[in-house]
Amino acid sequence: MPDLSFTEVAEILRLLQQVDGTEVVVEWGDVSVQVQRGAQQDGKPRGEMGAATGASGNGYASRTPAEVETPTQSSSVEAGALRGEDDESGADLPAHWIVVSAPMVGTFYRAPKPSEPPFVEIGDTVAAGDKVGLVEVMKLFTELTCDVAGKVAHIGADDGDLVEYGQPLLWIEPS
Amino acid sequence: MAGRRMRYVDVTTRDGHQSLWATRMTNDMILPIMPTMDSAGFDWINLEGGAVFDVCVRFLHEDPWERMRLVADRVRQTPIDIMTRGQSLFTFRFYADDVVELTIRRIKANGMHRITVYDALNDTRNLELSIRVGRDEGLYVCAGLVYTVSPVHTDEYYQRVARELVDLGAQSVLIKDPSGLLLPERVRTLVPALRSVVGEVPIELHSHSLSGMAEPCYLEAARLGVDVLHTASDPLAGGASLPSTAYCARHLEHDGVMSGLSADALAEMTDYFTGVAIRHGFPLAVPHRFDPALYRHQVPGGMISNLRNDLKRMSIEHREDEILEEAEQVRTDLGYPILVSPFAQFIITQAMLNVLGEQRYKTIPDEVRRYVLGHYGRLAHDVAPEIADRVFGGAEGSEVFTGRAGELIPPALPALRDERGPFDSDDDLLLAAFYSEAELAGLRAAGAYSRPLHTPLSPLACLLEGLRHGWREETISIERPGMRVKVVR
Repeated sequence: MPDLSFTEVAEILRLLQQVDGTEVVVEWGDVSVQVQRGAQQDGKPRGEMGAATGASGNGYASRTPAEVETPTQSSSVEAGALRGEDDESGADLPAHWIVVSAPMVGTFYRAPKPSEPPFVEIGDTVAAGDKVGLVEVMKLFTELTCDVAGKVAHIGADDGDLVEYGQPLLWIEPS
Repeated sequence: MAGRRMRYVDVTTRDGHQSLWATRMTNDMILPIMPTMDSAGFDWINLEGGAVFDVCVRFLHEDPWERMRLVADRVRQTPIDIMTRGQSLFTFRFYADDVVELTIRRIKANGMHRITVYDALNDTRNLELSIRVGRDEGLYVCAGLVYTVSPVHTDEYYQRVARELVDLGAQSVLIKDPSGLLLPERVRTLVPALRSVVGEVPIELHSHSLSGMAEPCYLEAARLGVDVLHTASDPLAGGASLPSTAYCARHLEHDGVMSGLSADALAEMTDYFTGVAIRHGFPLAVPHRFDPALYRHQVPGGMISNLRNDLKRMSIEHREDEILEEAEQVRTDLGYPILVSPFAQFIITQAMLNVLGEQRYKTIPDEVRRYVLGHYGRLAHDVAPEIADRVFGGAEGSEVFTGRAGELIPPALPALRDERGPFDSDDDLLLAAFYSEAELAGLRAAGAYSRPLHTPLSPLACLLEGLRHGWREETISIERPGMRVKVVR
């Protein structure tokens, strides 16, 4: 059959997307593909074709959760570094403040849902057993509660931070 | 047996991409091939289920209700199937009865013909409402029993579940093997055992080939009189997905079991989906080898890759084996829940907490607690005393719940209408029941699908579409004897 197959079309389009020479000739079997390009500098990169054809051009790679999470990963690394500094200053925190720490590794959330206000802010009065945050791991949310009544004195992690097991998250000044 | 015809449910555009391509096929990828799929002779096309619905909304920003309508417009001969997780519908949360009922009615109203329902705990009370409303709407209702290997999940256990499903009104009974644990020798006892209780009701088989065993199981099951096989197009078949349609049709024909499927249509699907894979960088399916470890921890491959990502994110990837080993113990301790969503997550999370924490079961996530309390349904077996003590020893709400899970939840629709309405349609109302405003923002911004109904499907049209945009001052020519395409810009 002289006609093309979908597989061949995909191979051709993939090829065009990948090569960036000014003159390219590729032949396989009885198919030949030739590309000639003029001034490259102001040429629009071929990758942009995706944006124009909508979803069909939007590659899988850019949509996998792993990729989407990359920024989170790097920001959590920074958070980790900052935390190191915090830990040092943490030594200056009054000894009678009670720490609420992460029961597991996971993502710390300060609010029940993204659209809702945080459980607590610094200065809020809390009762023993009050919810003060959430830790999520593998889509499972575990509530953080404080053991004592008092005032929220310090919050050591930001919403969405990756936290480690035992990491101090909030400090309560007992009343 | 000669001359018998096997019936097929095609799962390419549901479980195929869910198992292999992270459920990322868009309308643009699915719709053009639908007329071909319609002509292939499948008995049903399975289009959506939990993950498809969810990924459509949250990642692809395509309305899953609209996808049903777009496909129904293009598929006129083959009835289309939607799978739900019973009272949890498309997510892992349990919903109020009014939400479940309206969802089933909207599935019908959006042009679908069949529902396949299952409950991860095999608590048939969680399927009661879906089956009743489905039958009431005139949908064909298939109900699944979820397969696993444990001391309590015997053939007698499954006979009991199958009998309950048929009594509730299921028109076919599905053996659903999400972790690919089924082996041919178990097929030889399980299928006749089920047949003896379901009588004439068709038996369907849906097994993932995670351990390379689904293919031999399918062939064995066909010999033993299973009526319907769930299969996928080659590029999306085998491995974490289900066996290939063409494979089953070919080998069963040899045994005198006909498929009635169009070989040309199957070949065109193979070519088309291979093209989709190449263009979008999706991996082509590869067969899996028999994996003895799977029969111990039972954690499905998709979940292991998620776990691996999470562990890597936390820089503790070296503890994977330890966690999987602990998962095996947690599963036993929790009374053998089946490793499907959401219980697979519960087990993995609890295993992580046990391994990374200072003491096993020191922290028990709320969901695991609710599971132990019976809020998701009846447990297959008692939980270990160390967990029971912690959960039942707690102060608030530590009574075992013995009713139907749906009864725990008050009607949700009136409040939703008040708080987040008015809605343009019941479909939008249901989206609001499943998702927060923030989660729906992307979908709302994307608007309706705007492609014409008849996207001509030919490789050449596909090529021209792909050539529409490119570099400036570019000349492309593509030639083959009898064909020439040249683009100058």
